[in-house]
Amino acid sequence: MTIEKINTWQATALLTMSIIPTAILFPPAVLAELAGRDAWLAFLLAGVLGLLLAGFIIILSSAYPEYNLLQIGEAVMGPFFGKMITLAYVFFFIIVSAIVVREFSAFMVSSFMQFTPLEILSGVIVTMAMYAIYLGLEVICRVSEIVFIVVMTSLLFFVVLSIPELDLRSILPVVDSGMQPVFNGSIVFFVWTGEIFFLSMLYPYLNRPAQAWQAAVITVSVVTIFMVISVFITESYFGFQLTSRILFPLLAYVRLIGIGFWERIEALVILIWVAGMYIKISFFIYMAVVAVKQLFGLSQYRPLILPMGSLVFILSVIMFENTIEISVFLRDVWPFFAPLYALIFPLLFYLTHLVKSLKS
Amino acid sequence: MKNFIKKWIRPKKQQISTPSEPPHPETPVPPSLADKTRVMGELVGHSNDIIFRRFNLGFSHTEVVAVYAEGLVDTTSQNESLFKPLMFYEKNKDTKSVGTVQIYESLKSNHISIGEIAEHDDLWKASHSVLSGDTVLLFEGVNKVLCINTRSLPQRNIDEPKRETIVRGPQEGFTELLRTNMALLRRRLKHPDLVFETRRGGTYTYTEVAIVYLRSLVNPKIVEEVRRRMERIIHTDSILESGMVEELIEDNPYSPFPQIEHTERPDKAVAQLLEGRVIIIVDGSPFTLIVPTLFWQFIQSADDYYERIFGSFVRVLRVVAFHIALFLPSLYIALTTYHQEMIPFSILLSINVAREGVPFPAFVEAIIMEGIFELLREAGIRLPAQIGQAVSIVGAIILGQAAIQANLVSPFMVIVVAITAISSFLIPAFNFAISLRILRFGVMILAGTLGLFGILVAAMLLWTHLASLRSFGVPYMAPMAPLNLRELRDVFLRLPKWVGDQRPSTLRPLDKIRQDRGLKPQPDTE
Repeated sequence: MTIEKINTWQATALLTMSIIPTAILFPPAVLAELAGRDAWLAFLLAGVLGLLLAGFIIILSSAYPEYNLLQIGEAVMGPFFGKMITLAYVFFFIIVSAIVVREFSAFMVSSFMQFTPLEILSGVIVTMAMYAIYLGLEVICRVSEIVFIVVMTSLLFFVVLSIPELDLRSILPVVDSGMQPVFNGSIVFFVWTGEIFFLSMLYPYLNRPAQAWQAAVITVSVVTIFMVISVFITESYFGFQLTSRILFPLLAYVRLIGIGFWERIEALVILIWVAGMYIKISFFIYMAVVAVKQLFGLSQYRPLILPMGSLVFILSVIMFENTIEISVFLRDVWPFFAPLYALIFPLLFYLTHLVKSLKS
Repeated sequence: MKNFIKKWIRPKKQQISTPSEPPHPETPVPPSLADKTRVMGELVGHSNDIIFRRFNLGFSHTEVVAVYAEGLVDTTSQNESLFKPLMFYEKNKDTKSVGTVQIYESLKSNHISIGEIAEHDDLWKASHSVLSGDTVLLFEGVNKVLCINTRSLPQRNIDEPKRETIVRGPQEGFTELLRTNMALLRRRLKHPDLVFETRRGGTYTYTEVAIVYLRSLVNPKIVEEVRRRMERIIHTDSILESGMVEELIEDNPYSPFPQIEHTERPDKAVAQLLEGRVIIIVDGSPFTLIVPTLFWQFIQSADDYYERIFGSFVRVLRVVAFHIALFLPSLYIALTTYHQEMIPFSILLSINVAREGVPFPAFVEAIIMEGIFELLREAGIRLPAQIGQAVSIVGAIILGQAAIQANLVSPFMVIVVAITAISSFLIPAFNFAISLRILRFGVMILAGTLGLFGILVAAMLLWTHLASLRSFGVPYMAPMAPLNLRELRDVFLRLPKWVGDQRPSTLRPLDKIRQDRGLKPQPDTE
């Protein structure tokens, strides 16, 4: 087995595609509910937090350029605590994959294929992801390059089409009800910008690790800018109160777009989004598989793909009762759970690393 | 990327010596002429087309046996340049007292007036050269035999390449004879760095295969990889066509996509050599293999490069046609079955009116029509040209017109199938078009079950598969994945001759510069 290498551009594409597809689903509504008119500010703040996290993650990874996050953990924390934390990460990656798969099928069922059972959609996308993972990280990266271009082009297209609808008065007055709602909102979206910590899982594969910061900065900026624009658009069009009550505000907006005689083009947008989702799910399950491989010190991960895929599939089906539950979960539970893995554990690793290096 | 290619191309184990022909028993040359004749007779199996001609050297009593295969030798040159000088040989002219060895040496250097001769000390090799058309001379008391090239192999004339017709450009194609093909390449590429490496494969057919490359240009790791894979052809019993070699050396035998392109056109082969690729010529086949092959090569044709702006236009057309050929029937199924809201109302209305009496769902309808079309196409290929006409009449009138009138299929479906068929004819490479035809059915099944989502699933699976493919260590989808914007220009467009100052970097040629910059023609400034 050769060592896989990915370049900076591929890392950018992969990371962006592992954040944006779900970021455009629930967050606009959730943030509009929490931060009201200042949702755009909450997105921006979360973006800044994401950039800070990215900087920290790169500092941590460049201290151990040969290791991914879990390997760093085991090297720093010692065998016992290291394995414990790896185990925790295994659960995290499995759960987060299951959530993403469920978000995917929930969205598809509620907006695109109403008569298709959820299990079919989850099953299809997980099977596809398993195939991609079987072919390896490099292949996922190569696919993400093209998906990135297609998704970003269509998003840009969508933004350009909606420029006439933009109404900056919709965000006035700024910070009307204090900064507290903005912070609340940014904590929720920090889950997404915080996903930049996956960079530490890619770091050993980068062929130019010195350029890792470019990938991180571009990813977080693209995500943040796009989310700020999209929340502008939806709030200009629907107003923030309506936005917070629509489950998928961006979809509701896209439904209204027509090009000349051709209306109802949202199916195309959804399909492009599915392509992005495919990358995201593949990458997430890949990381879960790699985490298990790391936990048991296996030499290759391929035998784990099928069991992991089945596990994620089943979990995605039984995890939530309905779509609203996901939305509530993402608003009330997830923001206090995900940063543990995105921020707290890496911070712990880094502090331990510092203490150890001071000792010696 | 760079590191990756390096890693991949590097052979797994260090090469010691590459065997270039199938293993054979050692057969030393016995001293006496009688033994030689006997062993030779056993080796060629006493077959009736092998002729053993005994004669005396000059007017002496030194006996010589000439062995050759009837029909493979050029009798005129054999008589004039071989038998005549030997039979009129005058020993006394040379020296007074000589042994057979001296006579042999003198014959070899002074009397046989044929360019190519070879000495063998192994009778097995000599017997094989008889079977290739050489004349072998056996002497008494010499432990070597002389193989004289008197070949005149049955062959076809150089003809137009039938499978790759182009509007403008050279009209000669490769033939079945390896030497002719090598000459066709050499004639176009008069450069000392053009290297032909021949080897033999097939324990029964003993087919000669040539690996061709430009020494100063091609990445040596690619050549090394080709040599390593070509070892496999030695161990099979027969190589009848370059397709057999292709199957033995390709990267992923389970992929529906061809990973090695073949061509009948010497000019195309030379163009590929000049990009740093390796050509494999198989004796007995006019189709030469091009390695490594990238995906986008299959939508390129030689005359893209010979006509001015036309190339760019037609390439865009082919990319569109490629997608139509793969997805159009599925799109029709998905839209009419699952996503009728996406079709503009007036069109939807006429589709539904046309489908009024059709008893099948769109999916079944599409499968039937595509299936019939495949039947017709396959029938047309195998038939002689005179009867082929009848197939198109049956197809167009009876199946097309009558099926609509009988309400078996809707006219829209016929239009869709027709557009699909025409689009698939735009793909210049036949083997690539075959894989499209097969995949189209897969995509249709997914579209019939999951609608547009199914089409996307198919597209993403295909894309993932394509992104994972490699041809001799080079990523198959390059320069698209991994992305190289500068070289991607030449995929969808055909850049003018004066723009392409660099060779494609995907193949890592040793010499990256193709031509000087600033060749752009300009009007006189005076």
